[in-house]
Amino acid sequence: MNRLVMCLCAALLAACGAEAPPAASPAAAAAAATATPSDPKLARLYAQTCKSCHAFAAGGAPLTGDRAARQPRVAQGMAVLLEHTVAGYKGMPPLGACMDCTEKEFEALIRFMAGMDAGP
Amino acid sequence: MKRRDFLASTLGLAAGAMLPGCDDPGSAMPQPPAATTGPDGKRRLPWQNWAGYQHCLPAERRAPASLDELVDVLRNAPGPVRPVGAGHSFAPLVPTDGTILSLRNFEGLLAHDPVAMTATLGAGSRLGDLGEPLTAAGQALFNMPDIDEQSLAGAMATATHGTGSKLGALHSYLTALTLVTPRGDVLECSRQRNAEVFDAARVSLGSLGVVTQVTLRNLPTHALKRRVWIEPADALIEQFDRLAARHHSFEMYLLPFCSKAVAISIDPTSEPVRPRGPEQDNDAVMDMKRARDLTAWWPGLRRWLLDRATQEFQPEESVDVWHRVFPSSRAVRFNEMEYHLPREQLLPALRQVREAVERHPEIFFPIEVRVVKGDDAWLSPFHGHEASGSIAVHHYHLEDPLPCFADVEALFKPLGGRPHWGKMNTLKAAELATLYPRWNDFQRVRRELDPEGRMLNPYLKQAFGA
Repeated sequence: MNRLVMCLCAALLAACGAEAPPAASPAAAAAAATATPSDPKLARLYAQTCKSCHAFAAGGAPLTGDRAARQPRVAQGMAVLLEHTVAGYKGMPPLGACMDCTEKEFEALIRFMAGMDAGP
Repeated sequence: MKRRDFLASTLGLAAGAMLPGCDDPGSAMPQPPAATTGPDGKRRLPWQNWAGYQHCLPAERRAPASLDELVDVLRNAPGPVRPVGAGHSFAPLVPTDGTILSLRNFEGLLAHDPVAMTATLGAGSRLGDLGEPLTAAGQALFNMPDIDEQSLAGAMATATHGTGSKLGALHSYLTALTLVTPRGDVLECSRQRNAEVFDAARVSLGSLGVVTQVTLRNLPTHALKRRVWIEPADALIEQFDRLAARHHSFEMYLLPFCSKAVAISIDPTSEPVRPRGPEQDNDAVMDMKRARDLTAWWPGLRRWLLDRATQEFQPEESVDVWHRVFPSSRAVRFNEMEYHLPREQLLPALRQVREAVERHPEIFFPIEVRVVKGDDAWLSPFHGHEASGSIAVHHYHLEDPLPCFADVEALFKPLGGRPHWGKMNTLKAAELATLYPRWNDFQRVRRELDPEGRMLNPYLKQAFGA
């Protein structure tokens, strides 16, 4: 089916605002692959939910701990990030992959992935 | 002028008029409730399913870490109590004002028997997480669905299935399960023990309590060869029965507004591993959408372009361990309707469905055609069939699916079609009761296990006539 891509839409990709995200640095990708929260409960929750998309660069999601990529997002404030998480945003489905997370758990996961707990 | 340049310039002329259609949410789409603060002062976050169509504002979200905690939730948490897995059901099975209950802490490979070739698994396990531990134990699932995001419990509760005329749905390989009822009783169920509950609980829509673990009959681990090719749709429809009989697993995707169809076969092999390349289906679907956005106003142009674009497709072959062969990434969200038909009705119905879908120019997802071996679970849509034929229609998640689904559903009903329990349908209790010979037995067992209806949300009350 990829031939459809080439034949139909190569000249028209900009039509719907397709925009490839900047590639993560190799260092950021390596760090994201092994990052895990220090709190065991949060670590288990992270492994069950966010990790499959945010630990690996292939899917295009912002990587865990990639503070350069996440800074503009963090600047929007926790309320916006939480709203995006609940409603889904771009490629991320509603609620991430955590259908039962509480607000507190979502905030803890967001803070961990954004590197907000690691200090300036 | 080269063909590609000609296509681009042709489409470019149309672009100006059609671009407003890009990702424009329909006004008819349901909107999620706003977050609120409950009487306990806690903020209540909305819940929504993967497609974003089903919503609710639950009082509590719970993920018990132990059996005792689970029993406490089932007995005492605000009702209705609704189990949630990956949120991948398109039907409103989860929405509740009460408690959303996750089994994510009941996961993993718990035990396996290499002689009986069975494995006991936590029912909260994601299908996609089962491949590595089962393979390490020397086992393989008989079959898997196209998507592997779902939890085992959710997949079985909704009779989720793959394709293959000799391959059953996931629940058909159950040999035992553990059910925790709304009153907190823990029931071990099999064909020998609590047999009626076993027959009801294999496919239950999460209405009997919560299934915490399951034992599955499996195969020795093995490699599979996957082949993908494109043919003229009419020719592929003519060959469908022969291909479905010849291949271990076979499915067909009819491309709407195109004269071609995609075929996928999967068969056991001893050939060396040749992994699939990067997933391309999501890009292809979005390009089908862009083609729709630009040419929906002229179906003839759309068909002409798609027919010529698909001419260049080269067949793809890959070989890998079983769990890397069945599932595909489905990142472009959609709503879905799927009906299971008596096998002999499949192809006549398919021709009608194709015509109905092409009366809706907004459709760009392929029509999915599969076969499933029958079984005897009371609420299995494959109950009593030697094999069922399944037709699924997908609709982009930001656009109203109901007009198209209504037209398609009208074709399935007279044929005795049974809806996939996790997908959109409008059947009510009276209609469902006529489709399932053990319907009344199921309702009797349900009332015995949950006399207060703690597991019933408004949708299930309507579906069960409770």
